[in-house]
Amino acid sequence: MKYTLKSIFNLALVLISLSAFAQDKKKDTVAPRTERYGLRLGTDLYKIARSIYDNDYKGFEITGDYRLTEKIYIAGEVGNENKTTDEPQLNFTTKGTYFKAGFDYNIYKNWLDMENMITLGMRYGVSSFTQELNSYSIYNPHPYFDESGVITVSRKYSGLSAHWVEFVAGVKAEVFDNFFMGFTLRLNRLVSNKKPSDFDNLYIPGYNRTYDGDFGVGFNYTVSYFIPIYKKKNLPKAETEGKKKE
Amino acid sequence: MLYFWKKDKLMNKILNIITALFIAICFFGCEKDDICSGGTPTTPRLMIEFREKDNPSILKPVTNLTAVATGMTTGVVFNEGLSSTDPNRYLTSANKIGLPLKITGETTEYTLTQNSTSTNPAIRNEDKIVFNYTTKEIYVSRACGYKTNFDLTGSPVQEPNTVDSNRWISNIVVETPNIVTENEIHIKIYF
Repeated sequence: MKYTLKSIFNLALVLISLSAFAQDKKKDTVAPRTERYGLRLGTDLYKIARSIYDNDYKGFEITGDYRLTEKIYIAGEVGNENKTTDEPQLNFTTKGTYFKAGFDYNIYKNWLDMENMITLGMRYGVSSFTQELNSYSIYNPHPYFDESGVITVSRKYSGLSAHWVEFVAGVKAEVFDNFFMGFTLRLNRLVSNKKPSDFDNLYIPGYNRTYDGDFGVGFNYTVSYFIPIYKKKNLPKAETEGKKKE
Repeated sequence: MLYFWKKDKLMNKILNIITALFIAICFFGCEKDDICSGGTPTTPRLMIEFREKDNPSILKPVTNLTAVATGMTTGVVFNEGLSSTDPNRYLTSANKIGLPLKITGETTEYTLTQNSTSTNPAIRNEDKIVFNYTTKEIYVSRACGYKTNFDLTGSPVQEPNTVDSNRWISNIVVETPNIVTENEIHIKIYF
C-alpha cells in the first residue's frame, strides 16, 4: 500500500505539471516541428532509496529507452535485487539479476518543443536468481505439544529462473534540460517459473512478489538523462493530421 | 485540468487504463493472503475410529474418553469452546477422534482412558498405546509455511498383558498408514 499511495501522489504531481503545459496551447505554431531522437538512460530512485532505509533490501535498476520513430521507443530495464522477506511462517532471501526489454508508445501530443510522455508499452522480462530459506515454521492447527518453535536452516536453492510479460503505463516529464522524471506502473504475468523443490518463488527479482495466480504488479520511479543523437522534422502527414484535430 | 482531459477522447482512454492499473495494484496490495486459512490442509492429526470388537461393522462411542500423551499434564482438547479450567474440555464420548502426533521425534505415546470421570477402578480403565512413524516436511504456502505429514511404521503398540492385565482395547488395525489428511481414518480401534 505504501507504493500505491506514493504512486498516486506522484501521478498527481506529474499530471498537474502536464496540464499546466497544456494551458500554453495558444502559443502553438504551425511551423513544422523538429524533434530530437536519441538515447535516454536513467535509474529507479525507489530502489536506491529503499536500499538506504530498508536493511533487508539492496537493489538498483538502470532504465533506458531509444526513440525509434515519432511515437515508438525501444525500452528496457536491467537490475539486481537482494531482498530478505520475513513472513510469519517463513523467512527467506532472494538474490538475482533481471533484464526486461520491450517498447513504449507515446500517446501524449506535445505542444511546442516539449518532450513529455504518457506511454503505454510492454516488456518481456527474464530473471535469474537464488532463494535461500533462512527459517520456517511447521503450521499446526491443533497445537498440543510444546513444539511451535521456528526451525532455522540455511537451505539454498540455486539456478532458478522466471520469464514474464509486463503491461506498462508510464509518465515522463522533462523537469529541466534533458533531465526527465517519471514513473511507471506495471501489471505482470508469469510465462514460466522454475520453482525450487519443496519451496516456492515468493519473490522474483524484477517481478516483485508473487501471488497465487500468475499475475503480479510492479512500479518504478525514475530520473533519467536524454542524450540527443540526431534531429528529424515531422512528416507532413503527421502535421496536417495534427492541424485537423485542432 | 478536467477541461484538458475532456478535450481528447484518447486521453480519456489513457486515464481509464491508468485507473485500471491503479485498481489492480490496490487489489493485489490489499489482498489478505498472509493468514493461513482454516481450509488449507496443514499438519494432520491421527484420525481414530472406535468400533465394536464383536461386530466390527458397528461404530461404538467411548464413554468419557480422555487422551493424554506421555509427558503432558493436560489431555488433548476435544471441546475447543470450553474454558481451559473446565474438565469437560478434555472429554469426549465420540466414536471418532483426532490425536496430534509430535512433529519432532518419531514416536508418540498416548494414554487413552475410558470412563475417565469415574473413580471406580473397576470402570475407569487406562490403556497405553505407542505410535511409531516417520515424518516428512512439505511446503504449503506463503501464509502457512510448512506442514508435517506422517507415515506409520508398523502397528501401534499396546502395553502387553503382563503389564496391563485389564486392557479395554482388544485390537488395533491400521487402516491408512500415510497420514496426509484428516478426511480419512488412519486407525481403527476395536473394544
